[in-house]
Amino acid sequence: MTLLKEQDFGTPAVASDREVTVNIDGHDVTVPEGTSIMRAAGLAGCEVPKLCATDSLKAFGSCRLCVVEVEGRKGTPASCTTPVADGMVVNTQSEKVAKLRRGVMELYISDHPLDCLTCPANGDCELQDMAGVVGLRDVRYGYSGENHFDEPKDESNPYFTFDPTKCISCSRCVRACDEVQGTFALTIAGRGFDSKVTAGAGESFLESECVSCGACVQACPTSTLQEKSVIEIGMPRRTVLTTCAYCGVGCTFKAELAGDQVVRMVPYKDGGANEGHSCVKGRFAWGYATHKDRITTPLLRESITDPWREATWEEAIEFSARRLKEIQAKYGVDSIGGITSSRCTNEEVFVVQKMIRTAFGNNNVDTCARVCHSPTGYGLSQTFGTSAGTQDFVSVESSDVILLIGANPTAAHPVFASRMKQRLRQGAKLIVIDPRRIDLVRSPHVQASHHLQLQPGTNVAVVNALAHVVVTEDLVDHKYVAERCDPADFAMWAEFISRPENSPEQLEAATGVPAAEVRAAARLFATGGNGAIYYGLGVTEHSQGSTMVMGMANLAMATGNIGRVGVGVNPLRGQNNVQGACDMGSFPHELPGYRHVSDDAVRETFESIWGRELVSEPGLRIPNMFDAAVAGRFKGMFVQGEDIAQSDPNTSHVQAALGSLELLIVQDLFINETAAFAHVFLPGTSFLEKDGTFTNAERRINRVRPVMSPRNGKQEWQVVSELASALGYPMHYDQSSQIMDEIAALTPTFAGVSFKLLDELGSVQWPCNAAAPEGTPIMHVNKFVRGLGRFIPTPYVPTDERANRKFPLILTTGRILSQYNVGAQTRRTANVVWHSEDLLELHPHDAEERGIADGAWVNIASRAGETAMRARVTDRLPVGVVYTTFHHPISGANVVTTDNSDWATNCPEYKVTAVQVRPVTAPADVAAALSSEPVSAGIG
Amino acid sequence: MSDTQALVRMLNQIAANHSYLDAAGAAQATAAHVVRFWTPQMRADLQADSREGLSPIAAVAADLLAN
Amino acid sequence: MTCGRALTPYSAEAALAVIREHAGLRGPLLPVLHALVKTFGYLDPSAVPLVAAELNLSRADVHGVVTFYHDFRTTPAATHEIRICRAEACQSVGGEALVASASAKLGVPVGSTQGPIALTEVFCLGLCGLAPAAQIDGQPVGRLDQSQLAGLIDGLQASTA
Repeated sequence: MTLLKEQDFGTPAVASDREVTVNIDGHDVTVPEGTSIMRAAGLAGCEVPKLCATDSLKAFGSCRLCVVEVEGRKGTPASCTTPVADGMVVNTQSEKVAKLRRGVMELYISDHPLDCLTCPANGDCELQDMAGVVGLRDVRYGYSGENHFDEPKDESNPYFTFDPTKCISCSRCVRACDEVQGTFALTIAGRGFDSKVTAGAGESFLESECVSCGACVQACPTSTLQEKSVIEIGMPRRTVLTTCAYCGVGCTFKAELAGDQVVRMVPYKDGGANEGHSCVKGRFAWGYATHKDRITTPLLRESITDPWREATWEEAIEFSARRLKEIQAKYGVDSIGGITSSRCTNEEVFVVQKMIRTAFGNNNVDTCARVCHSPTGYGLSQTFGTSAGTQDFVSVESSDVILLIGANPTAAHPVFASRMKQRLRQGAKLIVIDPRRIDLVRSPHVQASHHLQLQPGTNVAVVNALAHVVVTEDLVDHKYVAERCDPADFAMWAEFISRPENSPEQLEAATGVPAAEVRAAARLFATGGNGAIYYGLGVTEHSQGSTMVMGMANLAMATGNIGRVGVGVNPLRGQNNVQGACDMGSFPHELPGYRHVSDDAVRETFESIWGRELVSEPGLRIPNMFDAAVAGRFKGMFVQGEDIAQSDPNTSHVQAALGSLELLIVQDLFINETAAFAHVFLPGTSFLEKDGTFTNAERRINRVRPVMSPRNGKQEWQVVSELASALGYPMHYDQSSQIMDEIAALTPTFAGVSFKLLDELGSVQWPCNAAAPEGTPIMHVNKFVRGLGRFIPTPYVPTDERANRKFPLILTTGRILSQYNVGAQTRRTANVVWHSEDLLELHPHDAEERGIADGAWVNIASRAGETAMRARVTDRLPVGVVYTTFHHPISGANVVTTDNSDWATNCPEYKVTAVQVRPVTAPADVAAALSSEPVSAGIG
Repeated sequence: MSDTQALVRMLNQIAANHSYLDAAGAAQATAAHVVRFWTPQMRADLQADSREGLSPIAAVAADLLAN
Repeated sequence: MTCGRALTPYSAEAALAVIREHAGLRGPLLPVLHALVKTFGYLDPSAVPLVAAELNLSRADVHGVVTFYHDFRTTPAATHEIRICRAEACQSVGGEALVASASAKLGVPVGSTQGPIALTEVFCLGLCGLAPAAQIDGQPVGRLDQSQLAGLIDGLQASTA
């Protein structure tokens, strides 16, 4: 579409039960009580000139441009700070206000460079617009007075420039950083004529607390804060609405283009998940899509020790199909399988699992959710009947007590974290359960009421202790439980949880959390109003991950916190389409829509549309695929968009498994650690080329629209269709919308979904069908999906992985803001300026004991392997716990993680590994620990 | 860890997480979980192995699965 | 100005003690900043992150407040300060001439805050009825004339000799 600019109503929307009607310039308009005159005018189509106002921020009233006349009232009030009153009559234009506005503009322009024609904001500058709108003709003060033309630029941030010579001190950037992002990195230093937008305490943007979310750039009405890409390229000319490909928030973006070159990505105000906000990755780190490392031609080799050679698509497909068939003939039908990507679209994932079930003839399909939220799938379907989060993001605005467990949203789901912080600044309470002192425990303007700083591996003990308090201190919402939950299950659970061994006092030694803290937190959650639980991989990536999910579900039901706005159990899904990949039936035991493969009726529906008999027994999960490969029974694999050699635990085992395959096909953007073991490399498409849908953590299905044609010449679903056909199962689609239509036909929770519906509504949260034609924001409203909610006892079974003499520290892992997962995308962008290497964080006590200084090289070893990286000494961790990230292959954190996993789903226990850390003095030691030179080292 | 050692470990883990049930119930729940999530090959491998290393509940579950 | 008041040499430990003493007040930022200036005579820039951390504000928050108010000076103060009003009422009865002669006698420009005696300007002390007005080491002085001013300056210079 041509360049899309949403109307800016000047001040935020107001919710009210009462409405008032006002007359603006002769037009009547009815608005909620409390709406500003400016917003009402905008809604009536009579926009009022403005500079310091924008509708993502509260009214400020500083520029004095928006003055209007109100009949019966003296003076010329600012329309941004004046609420409407019933019967009010407003004139937005009169000789008086016109003169005042021109006067204001004269003052602004007397201290502003007049280089409009060569300014980067030319064509997108509100100052320019307002000068035009108020009819500015000359500036009586002249242009040779005191000015700010000599102020130096700050170009420290890799993505945007700060040019103070263009600044009009409207404070929109400061307010955006405060109100929207919640980082408070900017201020106005000085006063009067010397007022100056400043980062930190007079620091450069890069050194300051700024997290580069770009909200200030978006809010800036002039060229003061400007994207470097716009400075370089010029103004965009057209817009494509699409969805970010990084995390599970799923922000909607306007891709603004010149031709098929992306000029900038601007968050879309009507984006269901993000409402006009974004983080550094989505807004700025999309350059990897056109990075020189992109592979765009298929690659083949007979053996993984041969160099790659380029091939045609026909060759690559023929080779792959022939070899897969040969392997099945030799080793059996179950000797091949595949992994679907949690980064690819629903349509692309659907056809891969379809290919495996039909053309491969088995159920050996799995997805990366195995290693992140598979326990969510198990735990929530057992207790509630559906394996997805219960709320939408907006729900947090009505939460009173937020229980945040094993998640670090300011790093991993930044846009949601900003929303949560808005609610916390309004007075909601926060309880954090995490071994680390994450930012949300205490950072500017936000402080947790309780930080239960538990030992890694003791989640279930803590949640049991909390529930014990709720039950034994009679804080259960009995009315809710009686109405909504199975009484026999509740009685059994209540008896179990009341036992003394589940009390905070008896569990204190194991968890490290003082009993009094647990009791206070439990009381707060149970009695503080709407209680909402948000959690992440610090819950699921444990040997009792599924148990913990059920434990949280039990707690939520016992306190009556499911089935309305403001409450819920909310998994913060990591990847852009991990929810979707699960929905699309990427599990070895479930067809699309989470129905077990043994369900004859369901299987028959698929068989009739797919025209093939399907296997009714579960297939191999990813860890089982590796075990079977090492045992010599699993020989061929199709891996779509996942770098298991870097992201899965126990790297040496993964490498052994991959190395034993006779055929590995990788479909991806870049050569990665997994591709080192591949025989076929099929180039894939980035999100800028895809045409399909992603489903975020809210179950929200968002459209992904192509901005450029596929650089590899084919859509990924076309490639998979050709491979399936070559294997003997004819598969063909003309366009991806047909794939979604097939999904809708086969899956009751998706029955109403289509590209057409998504174009109309923007996005929709499943279930979307006849019962809910516009989707379902909140689940389990009147009853649980399974009928009655089911309490399930959750005995605490300590993990086998304990600290011992040889490995006395516990390693836990996590994410940071600027890099994403294995870093394949973000390491190929300027984000490396923030995190160019993975670091090992350790407590000063542990560091001192070992003679480790901040920044020194250390060796980390576990029973699985060893690696080296540099240390960062910090008291964010408790004594005895160390932490690192997994973004850089050269440090390969997963070399040390083990094969321990969740009992129900085999989700790896990334969060608990017994390690020893020792300083490494000579470089030779470092080289020895880094076992093999990673394929993609040195990128970025 | 060998293939069957991994299976033994997994079965023990599943059994331990059903300890809130009585012995018979836990064994049944464990067996049901295996039927739902393990491939036929994995179940066959378990049966082919001796019951060595299995916890009491897990051993009963393995027997239930033999039928 | 210090006016001979005993000041504590700046250190992070001492600053933290001062901050913590006032951190429990409602709206503690301004009282904390005042207390720091009173204790050390000025606000060392390295105190800004300490204040921010203790009060759970951002560095930008604190920096914005510190730079807004002239009295939150960030360099060590002079021993004495002569602050002369230059607003309209005082101007109309010869305030400007007083400024000029003070500047000449002290040998520093107006706005100078270093050295033994600082000479600064203020716009309205609210003593218009007693114009020309000034503050000498914080003490208001009204109906100031040239000879009185010269005498006051001599006195201050003697005490710092």
